[in-house]
Amino acid sequence: MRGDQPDDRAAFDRFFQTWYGRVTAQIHAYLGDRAEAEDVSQEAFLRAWQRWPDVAAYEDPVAWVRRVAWNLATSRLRRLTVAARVLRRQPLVAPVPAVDPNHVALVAALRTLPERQRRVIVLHYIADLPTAEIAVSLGVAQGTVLSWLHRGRAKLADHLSETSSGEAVTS
Amino acid sequence: MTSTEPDSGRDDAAAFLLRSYADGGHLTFTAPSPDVIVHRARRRATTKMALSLAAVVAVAAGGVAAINAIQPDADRSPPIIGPPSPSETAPAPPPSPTPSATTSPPAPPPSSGSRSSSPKGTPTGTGSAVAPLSVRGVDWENTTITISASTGDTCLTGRIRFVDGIGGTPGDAPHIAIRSAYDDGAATFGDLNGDGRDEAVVWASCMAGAGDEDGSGQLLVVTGRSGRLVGSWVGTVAEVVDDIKITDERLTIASTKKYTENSVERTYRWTGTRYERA
Repeated sequence: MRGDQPDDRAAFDRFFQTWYGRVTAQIHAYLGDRAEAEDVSQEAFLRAWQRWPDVAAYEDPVAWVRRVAWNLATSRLRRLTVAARVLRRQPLVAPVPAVDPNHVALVAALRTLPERQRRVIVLHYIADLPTAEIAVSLGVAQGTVLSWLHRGRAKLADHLSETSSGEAVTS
Repeated sequence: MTSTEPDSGRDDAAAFLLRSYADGGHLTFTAPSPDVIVHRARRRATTKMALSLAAVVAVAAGGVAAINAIQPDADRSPPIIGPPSPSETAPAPPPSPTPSATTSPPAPPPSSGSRSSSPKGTPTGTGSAVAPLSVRGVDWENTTITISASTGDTCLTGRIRFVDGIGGTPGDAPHIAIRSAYDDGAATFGDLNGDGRDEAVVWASCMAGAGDEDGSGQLLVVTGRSGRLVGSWVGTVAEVVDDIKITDERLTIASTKKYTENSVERTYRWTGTRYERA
């Protein structure tokens, strides 16, 4: 985003601090696990730093990071490795800030969706990507994306109304 | 089939929550210091080169240990890096040649096999040798290990005191996290240097500082043959360790690059001078 700075490191620091939370939140909505989301996101930023002169020169560097993070996340989802358990063993350095119970409920509801529906919902409604762009990145027709969005939204609404009609949606 | 954007303004709970999360979900994720990312990248980049250096320095340390064995000079020990808790419960290496493996099961008798009791490339002891320390029964998260060479530029070296799995000062300063195995299992034991005594293979990770929770760790081979625990890094950094085997003084590591599917098996052996891919 700001690769025109003579000081690469300062530019990277700013880029990282600006985008880390958003990329991580998107991955969290998809993976449903905070520690894994942080790991995946940090890995993506690490790879960006490893080739920072190139990435910084892109028109939209965060798109590169987001793509890498999503690729890592889908691999991670397929391979439920011991790495996840390892991460959970690591002591948290900073306390997790208070998490909105509504967000907890949303992430839990997203987890009930099929992977592809969850993915397009996060990309479209949370990462704010147009459906045409999602279609290109997934290599499917835009109509397919729209259909996944539609079905995902319906399921999500059902699930959330069930949950909220029962007990409080905190966990 | 329409190609316009779907109706995102529908006033249902899902729409509300998605919008709320899009607006504020990121606020609960605090970025660690960028130093953590940059350090980790540098450590990975330098590891390959440093691995061979580590092996060489490990040999040098072994040589020093051998010299110590002939001319006991145990108080040359560098200061311990770590929290200054004198009441440490760990089996700290003894400053004198007193066997201290009191909490450990007895080591396999050196004479049990047909191997020489003298490690490869090490002069035969003179009788005043420091008694080797058994690496079995060690509480790896609460002990002191001399880590003879770092694979990374800012990883700690020297005598590291580990308390609850952390060596050095946790928090902002670089430190090392250790545990007996990559997953929740036990350490792997086996003789890797031909002295008839077991080495232990454990897992540790150099942390850059606060917020570094990455598993960019590496296996650490710990030997007790000089009378204290000495660790040498081996293998690749930042991989998921699937399996470790020691057979015929060879260490075989099956690991998977993070986020990929394929496990790769690599075998290392102690050549008398270094750990080498076999």
